Amino acid sequence: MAKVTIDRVWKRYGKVEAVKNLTLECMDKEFLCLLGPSGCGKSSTLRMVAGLEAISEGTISIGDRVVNEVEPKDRDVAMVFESYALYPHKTVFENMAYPLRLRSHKYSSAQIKERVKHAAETLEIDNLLDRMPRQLSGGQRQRVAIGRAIVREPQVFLMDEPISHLDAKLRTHMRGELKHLQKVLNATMIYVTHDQLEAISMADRIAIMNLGVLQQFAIPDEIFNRPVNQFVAGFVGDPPMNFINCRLDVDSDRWNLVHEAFKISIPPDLKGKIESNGSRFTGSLGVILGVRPESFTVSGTKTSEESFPAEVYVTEPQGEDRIVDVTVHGNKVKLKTSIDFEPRMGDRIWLEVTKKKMHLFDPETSKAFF
Amino acid sequence: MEKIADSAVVGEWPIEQKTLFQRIQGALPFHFWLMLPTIIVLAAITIYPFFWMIWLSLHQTAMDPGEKDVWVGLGNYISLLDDESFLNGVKLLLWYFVICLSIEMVLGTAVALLINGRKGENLFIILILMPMMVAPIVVGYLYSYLYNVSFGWYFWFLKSVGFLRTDTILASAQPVLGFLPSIAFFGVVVADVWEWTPLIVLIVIAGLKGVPQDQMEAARVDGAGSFRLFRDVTLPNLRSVLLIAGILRFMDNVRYIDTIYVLTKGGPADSTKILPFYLYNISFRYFEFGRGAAVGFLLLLFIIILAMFFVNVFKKKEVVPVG
Amino acid sequence: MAKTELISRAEKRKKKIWGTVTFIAIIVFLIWTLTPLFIMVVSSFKDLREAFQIPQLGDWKGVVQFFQFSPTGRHYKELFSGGTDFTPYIVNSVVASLSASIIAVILGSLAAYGLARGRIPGEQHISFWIISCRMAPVVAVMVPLYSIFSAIGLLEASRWRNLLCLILAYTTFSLPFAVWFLRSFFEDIPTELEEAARVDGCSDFKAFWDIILPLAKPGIVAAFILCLILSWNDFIFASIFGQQAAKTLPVATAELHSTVDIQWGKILASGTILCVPMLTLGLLIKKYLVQGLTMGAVRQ
Repeated sequence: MAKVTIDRVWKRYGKVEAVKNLTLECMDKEFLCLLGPSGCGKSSTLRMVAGLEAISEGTISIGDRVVNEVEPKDRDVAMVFESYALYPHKTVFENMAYPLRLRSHKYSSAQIKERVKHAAETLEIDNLLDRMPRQLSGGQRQRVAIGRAIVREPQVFLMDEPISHLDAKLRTHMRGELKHLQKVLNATMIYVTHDQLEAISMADRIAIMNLGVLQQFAIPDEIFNRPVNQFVAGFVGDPPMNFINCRLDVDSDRWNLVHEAFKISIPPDLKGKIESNGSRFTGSLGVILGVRPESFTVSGTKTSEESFPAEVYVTEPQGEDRIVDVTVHGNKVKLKTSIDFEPRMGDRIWLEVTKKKMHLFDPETSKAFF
Repeated sequence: MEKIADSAVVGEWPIEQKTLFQRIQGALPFHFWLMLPTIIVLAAITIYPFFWMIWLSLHQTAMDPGEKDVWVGLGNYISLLDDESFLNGVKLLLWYFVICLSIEMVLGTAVALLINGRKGENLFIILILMPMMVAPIVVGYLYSYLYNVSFGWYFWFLKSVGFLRTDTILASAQPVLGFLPSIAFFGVVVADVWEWTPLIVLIVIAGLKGVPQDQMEAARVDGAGSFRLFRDVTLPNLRSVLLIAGILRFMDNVRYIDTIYVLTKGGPADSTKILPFYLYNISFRYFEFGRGAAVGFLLLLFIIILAMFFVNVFKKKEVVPVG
Repeated sequence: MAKTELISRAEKRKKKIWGTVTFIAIIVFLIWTLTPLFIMVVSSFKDLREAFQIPQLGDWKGVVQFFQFSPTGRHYKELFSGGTDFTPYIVNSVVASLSASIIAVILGSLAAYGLARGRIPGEQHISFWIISCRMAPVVAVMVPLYSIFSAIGLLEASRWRNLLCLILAYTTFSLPFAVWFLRSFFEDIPTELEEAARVDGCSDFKAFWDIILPLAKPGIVAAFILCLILSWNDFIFASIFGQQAAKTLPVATAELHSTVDIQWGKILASGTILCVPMLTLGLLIKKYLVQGLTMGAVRQ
């Protein structure tokens, strides 16, 4: 196992810059997740680490070795593809044995058999070794693809959205299985996904990207609770964070968030955080208030000075929770409440923002103020 | 982060230095090297002859070995304008491919529509594909046999039904309906239609299977009857396939003269001497390679231009092409 | 209730009538398609006198005469005996077609793979060039080829020279055909397979050899057979480039049709021999026919 270092890497396809000045390091034995929407450059990055794409600028190192010019076969990485890429004309056993057979100077036939069987048992596919890929279900094929990767005990595992084509239930199951597997194997793993839930639940650290640029690189908790910009804040979390345009009135010591529907005072500790970030404000400026659906207090009556009314648009029961869509003066806001709260369409309810969980963003730079 | 020099040996992984050979190899993509032998061979047997053909067309080739070829510039081309045989050949060629193509496309599509999705479709296809496998020259002999005045079953049949007024098929230069090419010409057309309509049938069936089912179902639910379904869903999706079938058939139709060679040898009275056949005559009967090359070049140009024309007309209609 | 029943019954009857009509139409087309072949094969087993027997004009019952004959293999025997033994011609046909097809498929698969995968400079031009080979009329191509071959001396009277000449000539149309056809097969194979192989430990070539080629096998076989059929059926090239020394079966068949004496029996027999192998081969690759003959533009 080894660490992977990506240093000031660019990837250009003609004029298109798919990856811009990316610097990242995946520690040894770490589960690193590359998260982002389609086209953000995460797959390109993974493929550059694998050696399947040329690096336009910058260096990538595996361990202490710069691998820019090294062929994929010599990089000692294993990859699980989104479509599994199983060899259709080989049996499951042969699919998994193939990487070992290619290095037949290192492994005897008996060793190969041993390793394949062991990997198959770990993934619970040892009963499928004689089958052909076309005879397998999606979940089984995916496990064969993983098996093909783990038989080699490579330095790094690369996974490109491996579970995105499975049905929801299987995906939930596999999230846990993959995380467990990584720990058991003590593997360095770089995992690409567009599903923020996968990233949050599985990764040791998340590198979230958009349009080729790295937005934030931190542990899941930090990404979720202290997003550095609006993109990260809105991307992670389901239902996504609500963004409301309002104004920040700076009046000597009293700072207030002002909107047609509400007026919220900024508590002193928050004020301290904003100022310590270097922002100096005067007068009134436009800001974007970010509040997660679960960070509201919801009630049928006005509970405090800073409570404000909202009209129910629709409610969506979700097991133990309920998602309530409301409109606040024309802005659409999603709330997450307990299932027991049952407003009807058109009802007026009262919201209060949990100040500890508020986020403020600069409308021009999209950066968070704290 | 420090970058370690390429030539360092770290741990158990020596970093390879590339040899000169590897560098050359790496300069061009692997796939290019793979293609190289083919490109060389193809260039030798197609590009080189192409330029030779142009060179030939600008000369009057010598009849006797030892004599030199005479440069005539565009003389060969210009003389063609006066050549009645050439003009006749062009006219007949146009008739030929227009008539053959029209019949084959319409008939082929109709049969494909009838067969597609039917029980026994597979069997029908197996039976239908037989004519395509037959050598064009055998087709020639076959129809020669069938059209024969003394013992030809087709002659007998056409005469008995009253469809044929004259006493011969292949020797009849009589224009059909006064302005169309001769009866013999249609005899050749029939042979071509027989051999190649099945290809259109097969292609259209494949195309029909490619019509997206969800479009059909949506239209059905919307209330479309069979005819509207065909016109509004099937046809638009078939367009690209029909175009491909048409272009391909056109290319092959003007390529082969085997059948005419056997059936009529260009006669009677030059009524089946389509341009390719005229070309063959000049080149290999009279050995006027210069003129032959000129005609060949023009023919090639004609085919390419026509094919490109149809592809462009098609592209303007903005339907997603197949393949 | 009754009204809807009536309507659906009328509908059903309309459907049934339409169904029968279309079925008859198909049968008519089938008869039209198969009759000539049927006549050829059957007549090849008839004594000439019997083969030439057709009923009087308008005598429809006389069609039965077609089936009244005593089968004889005379014409086939004559093909292989006496002064004109067709065996060498068949051998020439086989050698020329097989060789050209093998060359076409080997070189063709390499090039097709390159075209399908690689981001090669000038890819568009190469594609156009290859497809324009199909557009070139046989007779036009022959003129410069004749000139060139004669200059290299391939047209001199020697069997192997003429055979070589033929093989080259056949390659001019087989190779572009193979490239174009196989390209669509390689395009259908997902690139991830090669990528997986390269990460697993293959070099570019090994990935091609171990993983891609086995998957393209059906296409390669189909391409081979189609090239075989095209070459075997050729007459024009063979008549000029095969000369006398490497006469192929189609040319030999044509010679049976001299101005003096048209030996119909042997012609029909020879024609049958020409057709039957190709019919069988065609059936074998039925699945790929459309893809092959449209050069990959239409997939089945």
